[in-house]
Amino acid sequence: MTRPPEMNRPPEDEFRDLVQELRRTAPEPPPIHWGAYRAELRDKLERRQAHTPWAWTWSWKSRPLQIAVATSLVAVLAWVGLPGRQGTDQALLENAILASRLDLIVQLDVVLRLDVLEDFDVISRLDRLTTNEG
Amino acid sequence: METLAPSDEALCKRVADRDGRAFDDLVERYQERAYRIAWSIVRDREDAKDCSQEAFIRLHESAGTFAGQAKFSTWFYRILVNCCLDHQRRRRGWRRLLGWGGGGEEGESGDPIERQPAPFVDPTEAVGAERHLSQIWEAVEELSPQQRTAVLLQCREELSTKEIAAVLHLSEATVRVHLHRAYTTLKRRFGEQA
Repeated sequence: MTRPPEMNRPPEDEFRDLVQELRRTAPEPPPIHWGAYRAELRDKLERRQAHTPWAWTWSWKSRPLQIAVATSLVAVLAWVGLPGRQGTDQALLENAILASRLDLIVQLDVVLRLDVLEDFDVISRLDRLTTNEG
Repeated sequence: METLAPSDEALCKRVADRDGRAFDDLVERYQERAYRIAWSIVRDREDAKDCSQEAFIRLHESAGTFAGQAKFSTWFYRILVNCCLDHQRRRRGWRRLLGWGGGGEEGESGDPIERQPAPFVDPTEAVGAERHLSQIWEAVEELSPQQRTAVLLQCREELSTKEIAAVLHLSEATVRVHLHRAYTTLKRRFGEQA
């Protein structure tokens, strides 16, 4: 079976032609005003620098009272929140766990009768009971 | 007597020492290339401007980490491409949230570039005078993001495979595979049209 002449070209040559074509026809982005671009960049840079940790460390020294109040507040909150400080923490945790199982609590009537499952005779007839009830 | 212009690497070192003039010089040297590369990836004038400016800001912030082992341009292009890919990633998140797309066919590859979406073409921009792409570049638009980025860095910015690998944080072999697949796809596309 003979191949057409263009198929006999080495792939490298075809790729090279393709790359040249791509370079020749590469699209240009829409023009922009470079002066405005640099001005906008300087503005963004200044705004970014104003929020750097360096700027913060410099500024906190000029606000000792605010820093002291904030630190005290954090310390009090941490002390109050220490494990064992309040008896309600455990209850809150359990409530949260229960809340996450709301789909189970929706079937509360079933949950309340779970002790029935301890009766193996009932268990063995459970399918039939379901059928009868249904 | 003509004075020799400082190298990019020397300017970067001065930027690390908070030399504002050196930063301005680097911006002037790279602004057009940065904007062009960003535009090639994000295909939107304002986004390209934002991404390239963000790359300069990151350059300003991290100039001290430039070790000088690679060329400055390679190091900077990497920052720039990361900015653009971050931007694409965020935009993909919004597009998914707003239900504009986000098919489930994307691979779960660990390569962040592999996970980039196909370019989103703003229809209002597409009909504007700004977008006059040749047929072959229209076909490049349809390549996967990693192939498209590799092609534009090679064809447009004339980077070597090694430099592209450094910019994209891939191995040279992977870059060659991306380029080969891209050119094969383009060749096949134009073979079909002929």
